[in-house]
Amino acid sequence: MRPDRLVPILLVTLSWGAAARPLHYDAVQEPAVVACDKQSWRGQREEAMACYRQLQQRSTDPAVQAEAAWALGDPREANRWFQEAARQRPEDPDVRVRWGDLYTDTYQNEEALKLYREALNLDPKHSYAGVGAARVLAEGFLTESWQYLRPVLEDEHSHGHTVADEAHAGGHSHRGARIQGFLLQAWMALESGDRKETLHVLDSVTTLAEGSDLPQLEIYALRAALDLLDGAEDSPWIGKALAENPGYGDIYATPAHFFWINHRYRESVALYEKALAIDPENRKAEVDLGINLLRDNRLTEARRHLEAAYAADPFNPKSVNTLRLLDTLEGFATVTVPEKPAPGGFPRLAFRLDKKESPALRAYAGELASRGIEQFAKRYRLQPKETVVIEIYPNHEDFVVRTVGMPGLGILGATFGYLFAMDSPTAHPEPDYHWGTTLWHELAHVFTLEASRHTVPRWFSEGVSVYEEWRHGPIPGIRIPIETFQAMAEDKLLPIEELDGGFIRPSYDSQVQVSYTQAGLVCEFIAREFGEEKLVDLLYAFDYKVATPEAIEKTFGMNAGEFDRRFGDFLDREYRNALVFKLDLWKKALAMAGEAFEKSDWETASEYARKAIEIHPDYAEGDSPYLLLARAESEQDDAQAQYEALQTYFRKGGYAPEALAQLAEMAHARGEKAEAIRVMQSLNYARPFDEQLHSRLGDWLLEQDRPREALAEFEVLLALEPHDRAAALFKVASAWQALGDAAKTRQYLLRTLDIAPHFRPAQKLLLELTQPKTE
Amino acid sequence: MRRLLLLLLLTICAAPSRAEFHGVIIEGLPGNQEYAEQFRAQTEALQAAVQGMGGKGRVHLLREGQAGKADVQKLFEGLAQRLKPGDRIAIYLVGHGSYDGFEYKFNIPGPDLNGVDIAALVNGLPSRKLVLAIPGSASGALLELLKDDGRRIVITGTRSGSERNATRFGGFFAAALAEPAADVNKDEAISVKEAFEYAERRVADYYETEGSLATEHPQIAGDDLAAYHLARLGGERTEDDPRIAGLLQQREALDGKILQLQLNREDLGEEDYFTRLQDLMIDLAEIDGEIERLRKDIQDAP
Repeated sequence: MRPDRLVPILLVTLSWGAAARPLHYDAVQEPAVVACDKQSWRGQREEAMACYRQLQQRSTDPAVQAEAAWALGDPREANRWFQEAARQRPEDPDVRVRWGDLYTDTYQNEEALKLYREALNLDPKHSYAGVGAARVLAEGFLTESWQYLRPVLEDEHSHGHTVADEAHAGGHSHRGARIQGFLLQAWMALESGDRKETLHVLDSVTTLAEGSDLPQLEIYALRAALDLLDGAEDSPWIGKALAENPGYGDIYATPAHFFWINHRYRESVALYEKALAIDPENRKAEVDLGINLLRDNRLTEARRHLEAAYAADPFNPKSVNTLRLLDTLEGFATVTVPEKPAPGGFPRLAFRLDKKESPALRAYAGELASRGIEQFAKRYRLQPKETVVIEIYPNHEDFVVRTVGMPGLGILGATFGYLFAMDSPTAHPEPDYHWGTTLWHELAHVFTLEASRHTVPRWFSEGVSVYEEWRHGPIPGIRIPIETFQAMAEDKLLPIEELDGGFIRPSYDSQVQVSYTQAGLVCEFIAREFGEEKLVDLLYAFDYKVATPEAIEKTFGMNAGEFDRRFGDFLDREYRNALVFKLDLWKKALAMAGEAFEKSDWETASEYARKAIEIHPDYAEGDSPYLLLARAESEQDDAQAQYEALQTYFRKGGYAPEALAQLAEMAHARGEKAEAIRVMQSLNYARPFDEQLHSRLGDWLLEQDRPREALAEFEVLLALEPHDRAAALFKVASAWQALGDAAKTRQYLLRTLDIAPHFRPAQKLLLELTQPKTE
Repeated sequence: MRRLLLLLLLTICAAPSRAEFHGVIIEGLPGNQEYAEQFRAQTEALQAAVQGMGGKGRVHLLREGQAGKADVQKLFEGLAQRLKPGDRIAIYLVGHGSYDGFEYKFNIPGPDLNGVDIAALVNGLPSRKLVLAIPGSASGALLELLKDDGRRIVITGTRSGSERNATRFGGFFAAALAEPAADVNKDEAISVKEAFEYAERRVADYYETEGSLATEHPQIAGDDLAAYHLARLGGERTEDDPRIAGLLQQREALDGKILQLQLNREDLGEEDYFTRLQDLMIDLAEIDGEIERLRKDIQDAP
C-alpha cells in the first residue's frame, strides 16, 4: 500500500541502503569526515562505510554524527543529529546548510530552502547557502535562482564559512562553493540547450578545480553529456571518471538526464541502464529509468524498476507517484485502431482511455488521430514505424505525473516519441480547453520528433505543432493571445537562436506562452515566404551537431541574423503596422465594450466591440469582441447581426462551446443545415460528453439523410448512459432503420420498449417493421 | 430491479384508484431578487404539475405574506379534515433552510418552521400516500426525522444539515415535472423516481461542468417511488368515453403481462424473451394507437 499523499515526505525509520551521499565540495570541513568522503569518492565503498561507522563510534560532534548517518543511508538519524547540532550551535550557518543539503537529497526542497535562507540570515555571504538555495529554486525553473547564484559566481562573497577561509585546512572552502555554483550554471545552460555556454562554464570550473584535491567527477559527467548529445558513441570523460571511481554511476546518469530533456528517451533508457549496471544502489537513476521506460511504452519493465527503487528509497515522490499512476492505468481500457491489424502489421493507433470515457472519446479521437496520421505522413514524409500510443487522462495530476513524475505542472499534453499523453476534457471543465486541438498538437510532435531522430530543437517542434493547429487542426485559425502582441510591442520576442530559452527558462511571466506563439509564427512565416515544403526541409536539416543556426543556413541559405530580420519584416507587415501600434486603442475599445456590456448598455457594447474588431479582426480567443458583439446584438433583437458575429467568430477559429452551440442552433433554424452540422460536429472536439450535443447532431444528420454519421452520434449518446435511455435507444433504432438494417432496428426497438412500453414513436416503428404493408 | 417490477405489477393489478390528488406548495423567503425569481419559477412549475394531475381546486399554495407559520398550520388543519386515507398528497417546501447543528429551520415570514413543526404537520394528515419534498439548503437534516420507516416518501436537497449552500436541486426537480426527457418509461407521467433521478443527475452534471465540488447531494427515502406519479405530461385528462375506458382496461391487462414477462426474463433465453416481448408490444401498440385515435376524434368533435 502506498501513501495517498506524497508530499511532504517525512523522514521515517526506513533505511534506504547506502546510496552515495552527494559530493559536497568542502562544505564539510571536519577532516575525519573528509577522509571517509575521499574513500567514497574514489569508489572504495566498503572502506568508506567502515570509516563512517568508526566516526559514529568515536565522534561526539552531532554534525559529524549526522554526516556519518547520512553516508550510511540513515537520513532519519542524520536529521536527528543535525537537529541536535543546530540546537547546540544555533549561530552556525554551516550546520543549517548541510541540514538543507540533507533535505535536498531527500526531496524536501521547501524545507531545504528554509534552512538555506536561515543560514543566509546568519551569514548573508555564505556561498554554500547561496548555491543550495539557487539549486532548489532552479529545480523549479524559477528565475529567482539566479539572485542567489550570481553573487557566488561573481565572487562577491568573501567566504564560504563563518570561519575565515585561511583558518580552513587547504583554504579552499570558498572555491568549493564556487565549483558547486559553476556546476549548477553549466547544468542549467545545458538544460537550456546552450552547449557553447555549458562548455565555457565547464572550462572555468575545471580551472578552479584543478590544483585542489576536490573531485571533478561531476565536471566529467557534464562533459560526457556534451559529447554524447553531439552523437559521439563514447566519451573520454567516461573512462576518466571510471578510472577515478569505478562505481560512479552518474557518469551515465547525468548524460541520461540530458537525453531525457532533449526528448531522446530511448538513448536515455540505455544510459540509465549503464548507470545501474555499475552503480546498482543508484536509486535516483533507477526511478528515472522507470519513468523513461514508461515513456517508451515498456510498462512492465518500468514497474519492476520503480518497485525496486521504491523498496530501497521510499522517500522519492517520483517513484511513489508513478507507481500510483501505473495502478490507475490498470483501470484503463486499451483500444486499437484498427481493432485487428493485417497479419504481420501493427495497429496504426492504440488508445489508453479511462473506461468511463472510452466510448465517447474513442470515436472522435480515433477518427481525428487517423486523419492526422494520414496527413502528417504525407506532409512530413514519414510513415510511422510503430503504433502511435495515445493516453488520455481524466485527472490532470495523473497526466502530469505521467509526464514528469511529479504533480503540479500546467501543461495539457506531452509527447515522448511514438507515445503521447494528454488531458481529457474532464480534466479541464473550463470551456477554453479544446482537446481535439491538443491531440492534433501532440500528434504533430510525434512526427517532428521521429523525423529528426529526436534532434529537433524545442522551439521548432512546438512551432510546427502550433502551425499545424492553425493551418490544419480541427478548428483552423491563427489564434494569437494578446500577450504575444504585447511582447511584440515591447520588442520582447527572442532571436531564433535563443528561442528555446523562452520555453525552458522564461524570464517573464507569459514568456512560455509567447514563445509558443512566436514559434508558430516562425513556421507560418516559413510556409508563406518559402512554401510548406521548406518547413519540412528545415525539420530534416536538424541533426546531432546541427543546431538552429546551421539548419537555417542549410535550408534557407541565410544566417540566423538575416532570418530574424526577414521574420521581423513579416511581423511588421502582418501585425505590427496593423495592430501592434494600435494595441492600446484595441484594448481600450475592448474594455469599453466590456464595461458597456456589464451595464447592459447593448448599443454602446456593440459599437466598441465593432471598433475592436475593426482593429484586429482575427482575434478569436475566449475574450473575443465577436462574443460581446453577438450577445449585444442578441439583446437588441438583431438576430441577423448576432448570427453574423458568431459565424465570423467560428470562421476565425473561435471555439467557445456555448457560442458555437448557439450558432449551430441558429444555423439550423435558418435552414442552413450543413453549416449547423459542421459547427455542431466541431463541438465534439471540445465537449464530447455532452448528451444534448450528440442527440441534436444525430437528429440533424438523420434529417439530412446521413444515417451512418447519425448512428455514430447516437451510439455515443447511448454510451454516455443518459437519463432518458429509452429515447437514446430509439434514436439508434431509427438510424439503423434508415440504414435498412431490419434486425438491428428490431433489436434496438425492443430494448426501447422494454424500458418504455408506451413510447408511441417506438410503437409505431415496431408496427411498421412487423406488419406487412397493405395496398 | 425485480423488486421494483413486482411492486409495479401489484400497482397495476390493483383496482384503478379514484382517490384525490392534492398538492401543497409553501414558498419561503427568498432573501434576494435572484432567489425570488428562482422560487417563483419553481412554484409555478410545481403548481402546473399539480393542476395537471387533479384540477385547480386541489392546489394549495401559500407564498409571501400568507406563508407564515400560523397560515401553514391552518392549511394543514383544514387538509387533515378534508383528506381521506386513500388520497395522495405531495407537499413541496420551496425555499431556503438553515441548520445550526441542532435544529433545522425552513425560512418563512415570522417564526420559521422547524423540523418538529414540519413533522407535526405531516403526522396530522390522514393520507397514507404522502410525498414531502424539501429541496433547499440544509434539508438533509430532516431526512431521519421525517422518513417514517418508508411509509411516506421524503425528498431532501442535501445529504445533511451541514450542506448549507443554496441548492440547484429544487429548480431541476420542478423542471423535471414537465420534462419529456425525465419520463424514462414514456408513459406520459412523471413518477417520484423519475423526477428525483432526473434532478439528481442534473445537479451532478452542473457541478461537473462547473468543475467545482458539489455542495449538495439530494436524498430520497420511501417505497413505491416508480408507482407514485407527480405529473402528467399531457395535462389533465378525463376519460368518460366507455370505448376508451374499455381499451384502458385491456391496456392494464397487457401491462401486467409485460411485467410478468420481465419478471421471468432470467428464465428465458435472450431471443425467446424478445420474441415474446415483441408479440405483447405489438398488441400494446395497437391498443395505444386505438386510444390515441379515439382521443383525437373526441377532441376534434364539434
